[in-house]
Amino acid sequence: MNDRKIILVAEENRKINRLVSYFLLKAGFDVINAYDGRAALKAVEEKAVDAAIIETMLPFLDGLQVLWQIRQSNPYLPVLMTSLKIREADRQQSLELGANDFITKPFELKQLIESLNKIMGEQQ
Amino acid sequence: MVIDPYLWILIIFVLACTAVVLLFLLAIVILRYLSYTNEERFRHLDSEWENIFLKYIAGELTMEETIPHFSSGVKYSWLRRFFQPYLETLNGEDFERTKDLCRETGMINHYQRMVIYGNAPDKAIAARILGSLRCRMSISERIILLESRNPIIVQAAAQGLAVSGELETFSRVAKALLNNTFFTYEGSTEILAAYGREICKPITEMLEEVLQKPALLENSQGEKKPKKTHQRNKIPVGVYVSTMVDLLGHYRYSEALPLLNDLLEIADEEITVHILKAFVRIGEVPKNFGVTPFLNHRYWVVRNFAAQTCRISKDPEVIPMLEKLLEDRNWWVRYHSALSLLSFGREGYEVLERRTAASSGTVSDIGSYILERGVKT
Repeated sequence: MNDRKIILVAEENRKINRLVSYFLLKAGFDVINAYDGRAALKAVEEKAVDAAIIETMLPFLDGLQVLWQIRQSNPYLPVLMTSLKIREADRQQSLELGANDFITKPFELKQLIESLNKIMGEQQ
Repeated sequence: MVIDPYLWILIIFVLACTAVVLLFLLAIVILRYLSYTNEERFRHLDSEWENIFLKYIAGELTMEETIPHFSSGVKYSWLRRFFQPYLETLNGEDFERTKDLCRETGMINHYQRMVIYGNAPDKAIAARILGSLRCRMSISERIILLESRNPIIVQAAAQGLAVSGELETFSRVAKALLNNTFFTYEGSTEILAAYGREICKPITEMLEEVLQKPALLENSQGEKKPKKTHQRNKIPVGVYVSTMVDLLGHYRYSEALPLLNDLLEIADEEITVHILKAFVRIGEVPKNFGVTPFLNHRYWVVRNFAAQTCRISKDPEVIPMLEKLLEDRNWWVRYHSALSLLSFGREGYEVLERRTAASSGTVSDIGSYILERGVKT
């Protein structure tokens, strides 16, 4: 049986998405990639995702709307939101909408993994 | 049969024109093909580099093992396109390792030379990437670019300096954006916000200095942002102050609320608008903030934002004033007054419902609009 937790990485920039995914795989997670809001929502609805890392600026459906929709159906899913440091409003809105934590870009990959582990640990 | 000499000239002329057109089309086809193969080559390298780079960042490859893949006969413009997203996303040790790799490829030296010796477009590109690299060594050259008469160069230099987060350059970048480009307040704020929340403390210190010298603002009462760049040797203080206030609002810097409240005492209309907007964005009003004079202000934009602050303060004493503003001549003032009334719960709702039923025209229109939408505040 595969004990690896599945993390959704929702980020429009494919390079950054793959970078984060690479480090998550090395950290012992399995990864599902989404490059827009609709795909992210679909992944959460159709697959047994254990946590999500969602960028606020996504095409088709932005990250905040994705978060809001996730919270309607799954209030306990650990969600880590990311955004550029200039988007301060996104931080506050994310936390108000129920994100477990928020990390601004630029970030350290180690810091991202630590935040993810922390919110998953808190949820357990 | 003898052919007319003029006919010969015409035939030769037509053939020559046809040849020129064909050569022109051939040149376009060749250039497009070269561009396509160039782009294909870059895409191939990009994919190859990505695999190597991920291993390098993860510590699976050393610099010595990585650098040969990035060195042989590659264009710096390709390296820039490859590295820029990583430089703008990563921080700490990950960023430093990426920057070290850029340095080893010769990319940093190349763009440092370009920012000094390049032509205008090259300087703009170099300023931008050096900002992403947070390259301190070329700061003075990039600051010089802020004085350029080309607004595109000024913008690129400003963005590069802001992204690099060099706080000591903030004041010069702000003045260059406001004076040397066509950016609006919002556009300038967007670029300056890249410095990060750390800029809020220096901004409050600057505004405290302005508060100590209110004559500075008196001298620039009512002055607007110049329509042409380089129109003045320095921008009006009021324009500068408004932009600084916008940044405090952008970062929801509630620590500045008392200072902003004090600034309201000496602010002109323009600055007042920006301060009230900041209160709305911060989501708080100062403890002793008196909204009444602003609800009665002659300028509709001030009344508009003042009405919005009522949703935050939730002081029931303003309900009668908001009720009166339902008759305001400006739609936005009526709209926000109605929304603010709703935010007071049952009491505000009853006032809005009563006025909608008892009135006609604009009051009834806005009341019905808000009540039907059931707008959440």
